[in-house]
Amino acid sequence: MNTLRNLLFLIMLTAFVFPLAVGVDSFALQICGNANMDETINDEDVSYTEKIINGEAEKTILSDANNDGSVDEKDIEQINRIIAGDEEFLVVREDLGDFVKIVEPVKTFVYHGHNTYVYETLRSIGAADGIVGITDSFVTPGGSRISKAYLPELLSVTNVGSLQAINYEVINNIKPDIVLTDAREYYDPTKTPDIPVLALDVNVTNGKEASLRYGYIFGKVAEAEEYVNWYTDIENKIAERINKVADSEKPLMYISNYNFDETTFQVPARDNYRAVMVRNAGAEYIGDEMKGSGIQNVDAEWVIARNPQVIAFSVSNLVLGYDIHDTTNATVAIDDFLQRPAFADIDAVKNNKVYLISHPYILCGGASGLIGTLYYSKWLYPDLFDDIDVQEIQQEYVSRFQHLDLNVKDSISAYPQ
Amino acid sequence: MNPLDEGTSDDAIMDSYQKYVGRKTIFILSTLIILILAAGLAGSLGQAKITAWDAYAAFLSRYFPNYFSSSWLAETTIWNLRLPRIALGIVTGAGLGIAGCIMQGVLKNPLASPYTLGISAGATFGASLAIIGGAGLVGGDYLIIGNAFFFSLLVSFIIIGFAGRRGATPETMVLVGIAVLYIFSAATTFLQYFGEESAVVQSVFWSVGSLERASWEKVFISGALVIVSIPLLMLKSWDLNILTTGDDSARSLGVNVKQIRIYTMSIVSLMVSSIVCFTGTIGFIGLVAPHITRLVIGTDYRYLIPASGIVGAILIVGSDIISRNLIPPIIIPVGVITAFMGGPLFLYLIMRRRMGYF
Repeated sequence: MNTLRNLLFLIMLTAFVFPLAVGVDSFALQICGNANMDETINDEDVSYTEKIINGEAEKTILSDANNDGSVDEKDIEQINRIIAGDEEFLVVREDLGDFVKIVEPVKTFVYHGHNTYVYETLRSIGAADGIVGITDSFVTPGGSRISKAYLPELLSVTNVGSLQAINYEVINNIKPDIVLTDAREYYDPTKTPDIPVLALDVNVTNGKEASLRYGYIFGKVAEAEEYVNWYTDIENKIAERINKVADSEKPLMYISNYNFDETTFQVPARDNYRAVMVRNAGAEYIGDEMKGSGIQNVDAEWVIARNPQVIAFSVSNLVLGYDIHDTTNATVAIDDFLQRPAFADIDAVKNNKVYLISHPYILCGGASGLIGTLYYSKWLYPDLFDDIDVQEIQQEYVSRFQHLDLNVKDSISAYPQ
Repeated sequence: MNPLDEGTSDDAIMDSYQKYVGRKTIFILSTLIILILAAGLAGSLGQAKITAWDAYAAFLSRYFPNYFSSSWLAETTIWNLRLPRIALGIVTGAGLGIAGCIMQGVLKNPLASPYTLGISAGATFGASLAIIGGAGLVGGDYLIIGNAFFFSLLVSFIIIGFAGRRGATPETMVLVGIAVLYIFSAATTFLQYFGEESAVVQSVFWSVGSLERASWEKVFISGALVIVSIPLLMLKSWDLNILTTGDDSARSLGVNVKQIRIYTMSIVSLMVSSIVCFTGTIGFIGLVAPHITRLVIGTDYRYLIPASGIVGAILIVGSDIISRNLIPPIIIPVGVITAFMGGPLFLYLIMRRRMGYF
């Protein structure tokens, strides 16, 4: 009896502790029909909806599957169709909390994008082939997001104008099934009537959920689940090592853009995605005292006084990235910082713990953000991550999920490795 | 040439006057025709794959559905994209042109305009406060617009408040405007310094004048205020004419100079605020449109007010054609084009005409 009680206790303890130990949060898939607010739409949502109809369970924000204002048998029908993958439409909750009705199947899309993360995610789940238009910075030579090696197919995609001044006439010419945006503040959906516009970014806090949501939208649920499982596995690899480090032993890390010849430095505040990445990587973050998610300017003295043990600067696609094959520009950038006398005595400089990372491709969102986190962890705890080759994982991501014939080791995404 | 120099008989005076009026009327009519042609051209040019005929058919099909038909693309392009933009351009150009004309007249300063007096800076600060700080007087969709409107109006009232003080001169009002311009510009920079990266970009983009946010709702709001303001200003055109002879002279002819200044500035402020809260800062029109007009037809405000409005509208609609078609599909903010286009034109006219025209 005692043995059975101990076993039960052990099972309960494991069930409770394991998610904490790996540091992986659960999430609610933001699609109407996910009545029980878990990570997927399945028979349990049908059961939950039946309970709502019978008055045995409370409505949730996602229980009205067809978004007609009431929860009834039609919602069960819609959920069953979503499970079978033959729904005529999906109602998706976007970043701003609004519900967007999307006619299925979605075959073509325009990406009104600031970052690469949404597109990378779609490529990861096998849905990127439908792209028919994208913002200027991805296609015009000199653009901040352009990459012949990493995003070659985008070079021939129709340019729909700049992020802030979209050429709606071009989008109406194309008339895609959907417009995806990570900069909703600049997009006026009334200018492209009859085309659904979905604001759904993929960042370090919603990466897995957003990937699954895109899986449902593009009819690529299995592919999205495979991608999310891989993503979770990497998260676990980081978390299980970081959990061995006491908070008091965590090094202080500073992350920012690098600007030549400037004596002011930028510090992303504590809720900024870059700050989240640093904490996920296992460091104490230098900007934790700053509220909000903005980026604040500080004097060099502010950084020096805090004496960070590790510093990472994000740099443009002219310095690092999949198209960069030599360290010339990276060396110039890092030397510019290391030769500043004011920083000579901080731990990061004394111990050669100053790094550069590619801003457009390895920062903040999607799996790229996760790989960036992995680079940070390796820089912070080389011994703990001794068994992990970040470039190998990055290569797996590029080959298996980005479907690119590209050798990661031929390019430089982070420096020094 | 002074028409009275041509002769002293009643017939000669009448003949000269009719020529004087005729020249101005012809200018107004010809600029009006140019504006209509420019609007027609703007409606037929763009990146949508429709012909000029498709564009005009989509326009006419609303009024003559039995005779004209149009596709979804042509209908959307004309009624959702091009026409609101053209209409807002006309309203904006007319409003700013007239505002500059009145401001330069009542303040007796050729540099006076909604931009140089800080009204646009007030609007930019208000918009930045909403975008970066999330704070505003009204919520929802009108947070940014409401703030821009309120702060541009606040700047105007500060200037008008100083105008009401004893001993205030036109120079005082201009100096107050410049001081307010610097204060609000500094306040905007302060906000941007601490703002979130994307919000700062949005704020900077807002401050660059453009017609990107054009919609029928905005056209109706700012258009209504401009249409109401024009006759109210025209009513004072004789007084404004007398004011050109100097404050003392105007007073001796029975004009309440202080009252005229406050009255016209109040109306102009309301009109400008209703425009810049939607378009952001389009700095050059309010300055250059009245000067171009004045160079051609002189300073008779009965003609100068409407003509400045038409010239302002032509400058914006013309600039917008260029902004949308110069390097497609990129749309250059119209404020950049107005400065590029209006600046050289202005310099050319100054060189061609006598320097003391103002």
